[in-house]
Amino acid sequence: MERLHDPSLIDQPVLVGGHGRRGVVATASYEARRFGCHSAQPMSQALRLCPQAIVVPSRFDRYGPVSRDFHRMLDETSPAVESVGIDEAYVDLTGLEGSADPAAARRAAEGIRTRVRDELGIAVSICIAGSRTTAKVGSDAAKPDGLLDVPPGDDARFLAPRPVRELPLVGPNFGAALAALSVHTVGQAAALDRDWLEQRFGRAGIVLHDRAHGVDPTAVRPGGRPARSISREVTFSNDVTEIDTLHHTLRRHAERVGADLRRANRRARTVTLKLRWSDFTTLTRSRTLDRPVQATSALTAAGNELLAELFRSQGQRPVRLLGLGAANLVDDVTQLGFDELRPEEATTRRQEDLDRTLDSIRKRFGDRSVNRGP
Amino acid sequence: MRLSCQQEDLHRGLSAVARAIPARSALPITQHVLLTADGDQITLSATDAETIAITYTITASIDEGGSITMPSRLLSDFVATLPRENIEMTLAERSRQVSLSCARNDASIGGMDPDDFPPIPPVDDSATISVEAARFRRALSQVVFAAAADDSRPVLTGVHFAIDGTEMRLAAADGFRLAVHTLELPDSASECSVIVPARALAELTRLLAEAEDAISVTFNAAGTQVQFDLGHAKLVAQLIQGTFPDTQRLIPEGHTSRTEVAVGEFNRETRIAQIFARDGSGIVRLVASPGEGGAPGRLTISARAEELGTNEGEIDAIVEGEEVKVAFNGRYLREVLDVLDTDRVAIETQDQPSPGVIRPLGDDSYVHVIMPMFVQW
Amino acid sequence: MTETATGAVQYAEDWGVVGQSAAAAALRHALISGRLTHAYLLSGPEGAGKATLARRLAQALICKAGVRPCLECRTCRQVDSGDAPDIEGITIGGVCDEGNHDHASDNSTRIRICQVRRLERVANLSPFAAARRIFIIDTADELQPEGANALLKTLEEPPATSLLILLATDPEALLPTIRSRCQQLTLTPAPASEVAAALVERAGVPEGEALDLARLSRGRYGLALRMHGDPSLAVLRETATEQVRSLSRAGRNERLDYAQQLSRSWQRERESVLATLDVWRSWWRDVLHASAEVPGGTPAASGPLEQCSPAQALAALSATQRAREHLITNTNPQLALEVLMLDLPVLPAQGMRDGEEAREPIAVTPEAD
Repeated sequence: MERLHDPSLIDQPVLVGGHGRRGVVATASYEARRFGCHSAQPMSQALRLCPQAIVVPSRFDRYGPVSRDFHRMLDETSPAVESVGIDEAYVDLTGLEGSADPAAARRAAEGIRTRVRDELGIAVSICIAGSRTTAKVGSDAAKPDGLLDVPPGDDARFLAPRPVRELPLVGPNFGAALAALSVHTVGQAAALDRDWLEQRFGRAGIVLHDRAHGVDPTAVRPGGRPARSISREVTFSNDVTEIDTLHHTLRRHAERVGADLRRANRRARTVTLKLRWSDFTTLTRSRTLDRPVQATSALTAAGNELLAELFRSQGQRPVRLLGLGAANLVDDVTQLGFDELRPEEATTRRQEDLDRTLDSIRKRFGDRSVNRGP
Repeated sequence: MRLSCQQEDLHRGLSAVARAIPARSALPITQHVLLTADGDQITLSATDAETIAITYTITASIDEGGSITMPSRLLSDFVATLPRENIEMTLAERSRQVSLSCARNDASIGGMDPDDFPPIPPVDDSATISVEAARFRRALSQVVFAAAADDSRPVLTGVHFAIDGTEMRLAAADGFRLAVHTLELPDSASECSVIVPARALAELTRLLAEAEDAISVTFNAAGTQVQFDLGHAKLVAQLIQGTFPDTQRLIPEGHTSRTEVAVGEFNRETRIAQIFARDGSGIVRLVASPGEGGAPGRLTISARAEELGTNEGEIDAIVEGEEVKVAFNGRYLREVLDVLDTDRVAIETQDQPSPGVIRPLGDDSYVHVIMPMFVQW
Repeated sequence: MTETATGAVQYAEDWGVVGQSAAAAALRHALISGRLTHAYLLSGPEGAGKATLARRLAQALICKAGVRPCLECRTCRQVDSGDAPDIEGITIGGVCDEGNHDHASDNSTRIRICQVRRLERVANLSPFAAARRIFIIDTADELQPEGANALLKTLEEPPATSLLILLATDPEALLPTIRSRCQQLTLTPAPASEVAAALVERAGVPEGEALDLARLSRGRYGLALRMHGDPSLAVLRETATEQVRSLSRAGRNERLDYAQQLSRSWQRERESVLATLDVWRSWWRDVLHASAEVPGGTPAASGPLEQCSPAQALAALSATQRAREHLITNTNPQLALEVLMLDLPVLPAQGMRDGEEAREPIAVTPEAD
């Protein structure tokens, strides 16, 4: 693609991709490939192999669109995404595939890394942790292009050897003050007396003490920007042909997407179906509804209809991946109607009440405590 | 056909019947107006061949009778620009060309075979009632707007006429609001229950503006049509089939709070709130607080727009019962306040979220119900 | 219509819809016995007579002559020209109630949901001049999915004075719930001999040409008549069919070359490209029907037309349909056509050209009439 714009690049070893220490090769020309360069390789490594290569920034390497795409991918992973700048974000993975399942969280994190690398040509570092502080420090430690998993409870031990300046609350001035006291690592800060810290640094001292001990009760605050879409998808271990399995999967997705919507007090105007055939062709179909929905049953119905339409137009083939998404989110306000005149809406309202009840039961007793009938 | 008539008469008649002409139709002939000259008058007719037909008669001096259809838009645009003088009209039967001349303007307009014009359905005289034009117009204006514009239930796109003895009850509902106006009839009429398309009634309301005295309303025996006879103008509408829901059940009986305010102030504050409510699904929030220790009660009307700002207005109110917090779609609120002609109005509510019942003070003929919005307060 | 004795007998049988006496008789019987239902689904290939039959039913309901409509009175003529009140055709590009919609010039490729909403509103009004409001949906295959769902509601609670006539070339592709709420009548292609005879008798087509047209139209009188009126249609049909068959046997490069060629013509003459795609669509539909046909089907459709499976034919049909929509909605034409080319099935090379001729399924059998 890039050569089209610049004929002087013909016959030259060309690497297309991001500069900088986190850059990844998006494409390498044949000439560059002869030196062992290939796509998805860190740019630094490629340049070691082929120092004479011309590096052309990929057209994605402008921050605006990339940042947008990056955040969109995060939004599709979890409803609770807190953006801190163009290339950093906290993602709340609890409740994803069950409450705080470590394996699921790891899968989700790997998924994000792969997607961002494949689709944007950028390496991302991720740290899975029980608190924001640990996640932030850990993701810096994981650079470049790494994934760190700090098991819950291990925060203090993990943080102890890290420089205290890496803690988000320790700015240059605070850092210099601590250095003057010979406090360089988080562990050293943790050893200081809490009252003394408060006396010396006021409120910041207490917070430093807590953070250094791995105590960080602040939750991920969805926003700065509210979630724009919520979705769930699953890749089947074996391609699925049974329609019942697909319907069941959609129902499960709807259950989770619905719960997220209800928790966030949002409603979806648009329901999206994502489907990948066994040959890896991926399709999405969406439908914008007359009235924004929140109920599991409404999401399921829309998903099933989209699936049926897709099968009608494309024929039914083995399915590799199936996803359901809610987009075009709006606030949860409802114009109530006369039940006698709008019986269908009275039904919806009853279903939404039931959904909320089920949500609260699941919250107390676990995801598998109640199930709907077939 | 050869005749002459006054420009103002023809202009008035053409404008009146043009209301029946559809913006777009599969039938090209519906874009035409039918002129029939007979005796000492011209009858103008137009129809959408679907919902309504309007006829209008004007006096003319007719040398030779006959009939022709002409493109309505072209003819009325031309006539509208003519001076207020006499118009001469002659039809060349074979070529169907109509030549018009007025003062020093001449025009020739191509017509079509009048027999191709959709026959205006005759309404047989089975049950005719008489009602005073001004009162009927007022009743329609308070009801028609509440009919559904586009609804999953076609019956709701009409206005329910229920006649029983000397009472005519007009009701319209769109699933979120209900308007009911009850008219007293001068004479007792036989029982009747039909649904008239709101669109036809909206056109009728405009025609009624120039009607005086009483008009007669005729429902045909087959229950398929209604004719409103205003004397010089007649409007025929096809009725909507089906059964109208029992609207009496939708009006809550009793209330736990009652808030009485001045219509003008309430309307003004609602309009202001609506500006802010535009982005947030049109939500206008009302909080009515009873007065304490001799102080008057008050009603606050507020709205917030995400990232834009909030607005809160306050007006004096007489509040009976508990404090009320209720949210409505601002448009629904304003549309009803716009058609009230009393000075004061009462809003009755029950436990929340409950429908708001709106009653103009000192006028028992009208009641309006609005369903609230469920919001996070 | 020539009022020969045979013509009159024939008209009494088939309402002037050649080859469809059975369907005409079924409708007539329903009319006479007062057992007309509220919704009919007339299915059959393009040019088989679906729309004509629907109009005849409408005429039979409102013409003073009754179940054998005269076709000559004002009402009958208005029905035929689409100018009759109470009888509304729902087609692509038709009217709706939305003030700002103009489907006639917005490149609609489907019957839109707003048109169906209008149908629902009007169907619930008392009829204007006739005893019924009649809606002819031409064709139901072209309904937007949302529109199909909306139509379902009217079909579930049909207003007493309404009659819905749905036409469809692919009834199987409709929502099963729509099919089950309609009385279904299938219009099968007529024997070529019957079509040829009717062309000679009713349209005055010379015998030799009539036989050719009958064969080329695969038993559809309406299509044959159209090709008679516009001979270029017949040529287009033959060459375009030939083309798509050889493309299905061509290699990748050849296909892509053709896509490029076709996309260049698209810049200059959209109509002819669309006409080509229409022929292809109709070809794959025929192939699909023939390949899915149980043995002993109608004479015109017995035996496979093409050596491909129903699934391949269906895939080709929908690929053609998609490409057509993409072109109309201004997608990059070359891309749309390339995708189509690659989606066409890969069929085994044909035997000798002569052998192919011998397998031509619609031989005109000199049957006695």
